[in-house]
Amino acid sequence: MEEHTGRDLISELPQGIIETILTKLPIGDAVRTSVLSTRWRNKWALLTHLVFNDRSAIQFHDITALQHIIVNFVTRFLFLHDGPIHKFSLCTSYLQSSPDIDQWLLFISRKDVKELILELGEGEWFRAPSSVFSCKNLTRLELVRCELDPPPNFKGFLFLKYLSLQQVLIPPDDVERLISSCPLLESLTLSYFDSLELTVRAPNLKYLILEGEFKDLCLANTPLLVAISVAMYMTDDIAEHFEQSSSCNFDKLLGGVPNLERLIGHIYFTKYLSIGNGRGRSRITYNQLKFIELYQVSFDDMKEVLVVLQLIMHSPNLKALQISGSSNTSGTMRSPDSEIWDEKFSIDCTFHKLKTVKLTDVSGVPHEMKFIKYLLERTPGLEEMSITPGLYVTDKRLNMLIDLVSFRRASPQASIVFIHEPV
Amino acid sequence: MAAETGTPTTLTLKSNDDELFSVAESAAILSVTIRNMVEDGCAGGVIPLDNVDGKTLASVITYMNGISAIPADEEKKKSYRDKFLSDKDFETLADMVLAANYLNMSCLMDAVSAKIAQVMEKKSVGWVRRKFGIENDYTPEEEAAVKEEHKWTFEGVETDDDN
Repeated sequence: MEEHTGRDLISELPQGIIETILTKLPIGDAVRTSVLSTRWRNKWALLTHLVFNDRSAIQFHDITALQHIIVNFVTRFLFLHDGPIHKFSLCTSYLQSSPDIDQWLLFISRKDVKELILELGEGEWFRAPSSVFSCKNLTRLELVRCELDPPPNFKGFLFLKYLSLQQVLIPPDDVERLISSCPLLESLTLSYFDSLELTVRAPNLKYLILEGEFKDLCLANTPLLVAISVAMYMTDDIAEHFEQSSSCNFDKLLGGVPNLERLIGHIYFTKYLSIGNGRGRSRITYNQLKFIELYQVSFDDMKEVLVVLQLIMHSPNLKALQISGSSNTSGTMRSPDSEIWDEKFSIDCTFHKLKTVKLTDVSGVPHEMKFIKYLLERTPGLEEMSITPGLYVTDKRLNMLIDLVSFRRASPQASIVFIHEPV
Repeated sequence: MAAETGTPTTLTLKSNDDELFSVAESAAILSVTIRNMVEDGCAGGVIPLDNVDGKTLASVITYMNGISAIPADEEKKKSYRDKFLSDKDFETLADMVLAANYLNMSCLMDAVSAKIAQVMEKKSVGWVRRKFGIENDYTPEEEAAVKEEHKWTFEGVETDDDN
C-alpha cells in the first residue's frame, strides 16, 4: 500500500474504537502500540478483553525458556493493566499447572470478570483454584482439561449463561449441583465425561451438547431446550447396566422438551433411547422440531427403528431428516417381523412438512428398506431423498435399486438420489 | 412504514457535506441509529447524519445494499465483507470505522476494525507510524524508557514489514 504522509488516521479515534481494534490484535502487538507515541502509551492497559493464546508465540527450541517468556508476559501484563477485566482467556499448550496461573486467577477474580476461558497443555492436569468460584459475575465459563472441585459453600454462578466443560474431572454430584445452581444457564456443553449418571435441571437451558460414556441421562427440568446434541459411547460395563435398566430412557431424556427444534444423536444415542421404551408413544408432541440427525442407527434392531418412527411421528413440522445406518449391521438377517410395518404402523400418519431425507451407510436390511418405503409413501412434500449405501455394501446395491424403483411415492416432485461411490 | 403499506419504503440520508442519498429502509435499518429514528417516527423527511461525509456515506450505503441482499448465510456475508474491504485504503478504513461507530452498525464496525488490526499485526513500530501517519512525539530518551518498560513484550518477537 502507498506511503501515508497526511493526517494521523487512528490516534484520534475514540477509545472505544481503539479498544475494539486492539482487542482484535494478538495481545503482544496490542501492548507494543505503547511505543507508537505518547497518546498510545497507556491505551492497551485499558483493554477489558484479554486473550492470551499461542497465536503470536515464537518458535523456541527451549520449551523452558518459552514458558518463562509466557509467564513473564502475562504477569507483567496484569501488573501494568488498569481497570476492569471482563474477559480473561488463557489457551496455551505450553503451560501446565503452576502457582503463577493460580495467582493470575486470584487477581482477575477481583476484577469483575464476566468471561473466563482456560485451556492449558496436556501433562499434569490443572486444578482450578477456589478463586474461580468467587467470580460471582461470570456469564461464560469454559474449561478444558482440569480438575474442578466446587467448595462446599459455593452458592452458584447467578449470572452464568454459557458453561462448557471438556475433559474436566468433577465429582458427578458436584456437576449436577453446579448446573442447577446457575439459574440463567442457556448453553451447556459437557464432553469426555465417563460413566456418568447425569440429571440436568436448568429451567432456562436452550442448547445442550453432551459427549461421553453416560450411564443414565435425565432431563428433569429443561422446558426451554431448543437444540440437543448427544454422543454416547458404550463400554461393556455400561452395556450391562443398560440390559438391567427398566426405566424408559426416551421419556427421561425427551419427555419434557416441547420446544425442541433440532435433535442430533451420535453413536449409541438411538440404542440408548430404545431401552425401556415399551409404549412406543411419546408423552408430548414436538411441534417445533424441524431437524433430526441420528447416526449409527441399527436397522437390525426393531426397537431402534421404533424410536426413529416414534420421533418422526410426534414431530408434525419436521423438515429435514438425516440418518446413518450402523456399519456393523449383519445384513444377512431374515426379516422376522416385517408384517409389523403393515399392522402396527398402518395408522394414518403423514409427514406433511418433511422436505429432505438423507440416508447414509445404508445396508439394505429388510427393516431399512421398509422404512424407506414407509417414508416415501407418506411424505407428500418430499423434495429430495438421498441414499448412500455403506462402503462395504457391494452385492446388494442392485437389489436396493430394484426395491427403490418399485416403491410408491406420495410426492410427485421428489427426486431420489442414489449416491453410488465406486468401491 | 413498509410493514403497513406493503411497498418498499425509501429513506433519504444527508451527509454532513449536504449530499443526499436514497436508500431502501430495509437496508438502512442495519444501522441501529437510523432504525431508532425510523421507529421514533423521525424519518419522514431527510435524515441528517452529521458525523459522516458524503464519500464515506456512499461507501457505507454500498455496503448496506450489498449485505442486505444476501440471505441469512454467515459464510456468504463474511466473504462479501472481506471483498468489500479488500480495496479500501487506510484513510477510508479510518473514516469507515468512525461512521460504523456513529451509525451503530456492529457488523461493519467489527469487520473494519478487524481489517485495521490485520494490517497492524506483526508490524514494527516504525512501520505502523509511517502507514497510519502517527507522529512520534517521544524524545529519544522517553522512547528508550517506554521500550525498556515494555521489554517483556518484545522478547523473541520478529516483525514482518513486507508490504
